[in-house]
Amino acid sequence: MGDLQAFLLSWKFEPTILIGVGLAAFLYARGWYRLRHRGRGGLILKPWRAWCFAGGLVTVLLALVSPIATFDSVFFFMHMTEHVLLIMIAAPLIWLGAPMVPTLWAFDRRTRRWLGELFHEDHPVHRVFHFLTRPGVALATFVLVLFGWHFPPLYDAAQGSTLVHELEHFMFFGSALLFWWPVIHPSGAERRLSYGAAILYLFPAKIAGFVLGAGLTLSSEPYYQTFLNSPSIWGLDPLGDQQLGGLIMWVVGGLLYIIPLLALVIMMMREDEGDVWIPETVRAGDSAQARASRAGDSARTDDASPTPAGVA
Amino acid sequence: MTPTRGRRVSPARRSDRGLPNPTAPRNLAILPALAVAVALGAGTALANGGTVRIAEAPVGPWVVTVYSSPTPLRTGEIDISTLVQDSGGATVDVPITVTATPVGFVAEAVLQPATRRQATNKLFKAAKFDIGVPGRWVFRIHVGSAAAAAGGPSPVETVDDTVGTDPAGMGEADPGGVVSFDAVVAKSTILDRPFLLAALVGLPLLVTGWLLLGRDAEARADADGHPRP
Repeated sequence: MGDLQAFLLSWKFEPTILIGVGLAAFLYARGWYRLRHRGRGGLILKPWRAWCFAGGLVTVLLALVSPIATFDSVFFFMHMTEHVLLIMIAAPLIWLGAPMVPTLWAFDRRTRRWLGELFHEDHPVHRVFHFLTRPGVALATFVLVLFGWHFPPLYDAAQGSTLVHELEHFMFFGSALLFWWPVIHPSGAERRLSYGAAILYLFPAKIAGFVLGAGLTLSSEPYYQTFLNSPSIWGLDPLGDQQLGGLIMWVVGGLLYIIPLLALVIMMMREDEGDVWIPETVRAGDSAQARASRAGDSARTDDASPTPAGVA
Repeated sequence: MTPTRGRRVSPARRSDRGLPNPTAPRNLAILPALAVAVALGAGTALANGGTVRIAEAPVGPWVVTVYSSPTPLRTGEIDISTLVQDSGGATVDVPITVTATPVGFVAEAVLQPATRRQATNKLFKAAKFDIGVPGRWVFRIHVGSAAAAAGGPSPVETVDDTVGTDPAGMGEADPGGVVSFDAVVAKSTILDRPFLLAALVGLPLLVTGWLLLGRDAEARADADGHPRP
């Protein structure tokens, strides 16, 4: 068996990961199906959102179950690939899937009402999440987690301990979900960051990845004790392995930021052009509503409604 | 071009445009996120890799690297995985057996063959042990002909536990040898079973929350004059 074949066969089927991802997929799919059958799903859920959510879950599996995960204890660059997949691809794709409504509709009416209470504006759970997804808080958390876990003693501690390693993954993925929330804003409520501000919001994270990646790539000695003892496979010594990992963060991570940046620029331009992408009939409806609003008889249209429509 | 805030649009219009309904409880996104996060946090199933115990030790014509998992070693299932390399790279054709022998106390010594089938990483061979007694254990990895020659180890052994090589059976046709390391196997605690821990902590919290918040919601529904769901 060649090395490549051995690599491709090295899957790590951890039951808890498969169960967690399967559960998320089941809830989304069940809610999607029920909404579609009520005749409203097609209006709320476009197919591309489901594809994004599925893509996010597949990326989680790719990061944590595929040969990339199996080799993360042997190669630093595999571990870096795993993290890039989780924070730069899986997290934004899951938010692009706008999982709130379909997940809610996976439950029966009573449970939906209960969950609606739980996530109400004045509920502590809501307040905590609202605070954590403030742009400043989310960005700071993301950058701190990124730098913190690459500090050699912490990184080595994570490699040496199964539980700490899982905690590392949990924090990377969790902070990435918080970080991407203000950019993607999957709730559909009023954006806390305009498209222009979201572009500026991405730059500190991009620079943080750039600094860290460049530091690892240009280093003259390996920083991490764990990989000093790793066997030399495929001609990679510990320093070369670290430099390759740094390049992945520096170049691949940097390139991946271009996609949301471009998307935000396009969204901003469309907005400035007067929503030319919105069908004429819809814009006509909006204009009528605006006139009604000016006349003083318009209802509030923000997301502060005490009875979420999705719970009804 | 000045950055502008997104306009407020009615829920109906949002639906028409294919946007998510803004009146939906936005924090429900936490549910699928939690499902995935729980999966990330709870996964402690054994896999090859872990801690390097023996790094590229020469044994006959081969170079042997040995990993152990989990880290730190706990009673229960323990995985010893071995990478054997020759001049051409990794090879899985060399027979390997692993023995686990207690040091300084009475317990049953165990011998297990290392196989590729048990290895997650298919460049490795792995042997799995069910170690029930905490304490210091010596793990000996018999490579090549030494694997076949490995007999049942003595039940009690007091040895110097340093890592080393012990060439044995170095015939030209089938050279082999033994490498060993010692490690303390600690007693497993509930912290080593996060799935169980999560269930023990999470279920009472869930029930308490359900009782408190569920009643609260019903009370509010009654106060508003709405029928209970």
